[in-house]
Amino acid sequence: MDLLATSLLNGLTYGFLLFMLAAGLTLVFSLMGVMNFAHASLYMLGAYVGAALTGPLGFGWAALLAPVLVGLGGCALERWLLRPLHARGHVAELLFTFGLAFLIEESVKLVWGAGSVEYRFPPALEGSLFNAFGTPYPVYKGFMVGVAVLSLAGLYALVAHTRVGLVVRAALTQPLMVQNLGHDTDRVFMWVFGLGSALAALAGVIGGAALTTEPSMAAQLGTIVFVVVVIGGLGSIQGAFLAAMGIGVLQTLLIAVDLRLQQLLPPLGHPLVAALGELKISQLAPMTPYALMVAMLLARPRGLFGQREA
Amino acid sequence: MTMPTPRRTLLPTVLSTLALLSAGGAQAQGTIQIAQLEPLSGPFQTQGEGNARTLQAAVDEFNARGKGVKFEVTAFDAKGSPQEALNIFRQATERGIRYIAGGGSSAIVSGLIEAVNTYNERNPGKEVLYLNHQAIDPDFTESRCSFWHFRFDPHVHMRMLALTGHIARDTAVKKVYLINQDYSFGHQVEISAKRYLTAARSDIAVVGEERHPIGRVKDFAPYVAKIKAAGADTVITGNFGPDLVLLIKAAKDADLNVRFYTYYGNALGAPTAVGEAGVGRLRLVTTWETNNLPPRMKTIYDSFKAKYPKNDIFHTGVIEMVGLLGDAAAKAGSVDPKRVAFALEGLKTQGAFGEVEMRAGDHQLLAPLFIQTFAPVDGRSVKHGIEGLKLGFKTDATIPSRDTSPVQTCQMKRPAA
Repeated sequence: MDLLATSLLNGLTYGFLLFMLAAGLTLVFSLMGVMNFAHASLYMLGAYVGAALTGPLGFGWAALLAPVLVGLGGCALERWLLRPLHARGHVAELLFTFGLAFLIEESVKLVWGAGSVEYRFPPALEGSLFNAFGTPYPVYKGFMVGVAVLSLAGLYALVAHTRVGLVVRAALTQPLMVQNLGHDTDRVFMWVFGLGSALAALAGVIGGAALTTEPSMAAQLGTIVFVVVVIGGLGSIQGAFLAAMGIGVLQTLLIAVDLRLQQLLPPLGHPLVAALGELKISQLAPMTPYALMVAMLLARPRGLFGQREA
Repeated sequence: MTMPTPRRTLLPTVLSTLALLSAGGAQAQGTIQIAQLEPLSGPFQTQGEGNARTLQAAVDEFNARGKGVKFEVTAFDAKGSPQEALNIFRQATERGIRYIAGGGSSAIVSGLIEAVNTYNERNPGKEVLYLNHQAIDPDFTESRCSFWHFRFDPHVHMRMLALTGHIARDTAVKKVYLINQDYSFGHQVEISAKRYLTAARSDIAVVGEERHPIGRVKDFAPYVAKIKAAGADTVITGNFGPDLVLLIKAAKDADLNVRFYTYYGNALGAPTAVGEAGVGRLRLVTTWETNNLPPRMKTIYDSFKAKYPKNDIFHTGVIEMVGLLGDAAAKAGSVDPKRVAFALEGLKTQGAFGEVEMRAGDHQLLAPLFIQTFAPVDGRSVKHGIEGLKLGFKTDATIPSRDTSPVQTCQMKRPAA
């Protein structure tokens, strides 16, 4: 019981981090119509910039400034690199972001080295927030969830309840019409891309300190975030939320299961199968999101709430 | 939870060449050129750097004594990848380097041993020696032993024998949880712990066994929740590098009140991660003892600390390697790998912390081991802080090498001398 409760709590916390990343990615997808493979690299940049700024400015300023800087970088990226490519179709854009991801990873290695950098939350965020079933819940995890909820509530309010949001939503579905009505859709796209980048960087500032800040962090979390977005349905924020929470909780809960496969499946005589039966469910936890994605693509290519086929 | 980063096939970066070719001694017998493979990037970078720096300090000390034989080390980045390690091996042999050391995890070392065996079969007269200073999978000196492989570090079972012998005397230990990396070394630790724990004390229960992906878990909170739920009072783990640091960090966050018996608790950020919370709880079995440095170790330790005040030497593998190789070359009167190999067999010498022996039958080093506990620096039992902390390790027990000497099962095939 305690284990279940703690695992749920851990899973939801992880889910919020995934969602912060997935929200930006799915937003940018609605805009570009293709996956931004460099999205997780912007997450990594956020972590590194945050780490670099924490030294001179302290964590608070770093957490505010890093997303702004990376967000502006995202705007520039959209304006001068992605927009010219747009005319050449989706494949060019897709390949571009793919290459960009490698470029960012290698640049990060050149600037900050190939190992992990020393980057932790300040002492103010150490310690425990409350006790759940005898296990303290660290303050920094509460901070992580708080920032995720706040920033996403802000995003929701912006998109759903403001005039700017109205133009953005209209521009995403009917760009030509919006342009003819006198709005500068190019600029709208640029700011949306920047916003998505800033969200990724914000997740990075927090995720980097909570987990580890190293050059492989983009590839490691990036793949999971794609899974979240595909399962949730491309372009759907609600879908991304459900998928992020679901995957976070599922992965954490599976780790808690000690059963071996052979205890679940009927005995199969073949020695190869018997060897597989030795595997524990907890050992399978790392691969479940990918298995889920494959199953989802086969059964329902749109994902949970998606408008288009993946 | 994640997929591996794409593998690249860039040429390995030669990071440092410590060419110290000060010829001049009347009895100069040549230079032992070593290609040292380490993970100098990726999750286990700090470990690779630690080894490279310790080896450098040991080699500097040896060369400064001017015994005739000199060491020259070239460090390569094996990137934690078996393919990369094999590429480097090929490159090194093409450059005429005939001593290959390190590699990283047991998986990489396994491939390197195979490569060396095959190479030596095909290139008689140009044999290469593989020097193992850290991969402690027992198979390398048991079922898969090779004449061309020497291990300068006590292996998993030997360390576990020392550890369980000590744990058996601690009556507070009742429920033990095993958490290890999901690959050959981690499996060996798990198997070894189960085997020797029950043999040492039948009333100890193993309340959980966990294998997690190596180098990829960033948040150990789910695993720690499990350990807590199992009611364990003691955790035994072979984890190293980030896998140990993050495990200990998560344990601290969740206020998990257990003893951690580790293989690498003195290494690479683990002491910093645990801090005060680890006093009396973080324990380890090790070959290194900072509180009682013999003169040679003092020289090596001081030169290491002068260059890297924030880092620490955490094992003696590379130091024993330099000492024994130097003695063997002097004994053989040559730096030819095959003659050095024969000279190494059965060689006894004054090692880092007492007499060590390179056992002839299986090429496994027999050396004393220490059981240590994290404690505040008090100037007597804990003389030096670690990683710049006011905390270090005090030695609870010294286990003589005869107590951990494993049964020999190796069927060594030797070449004609």
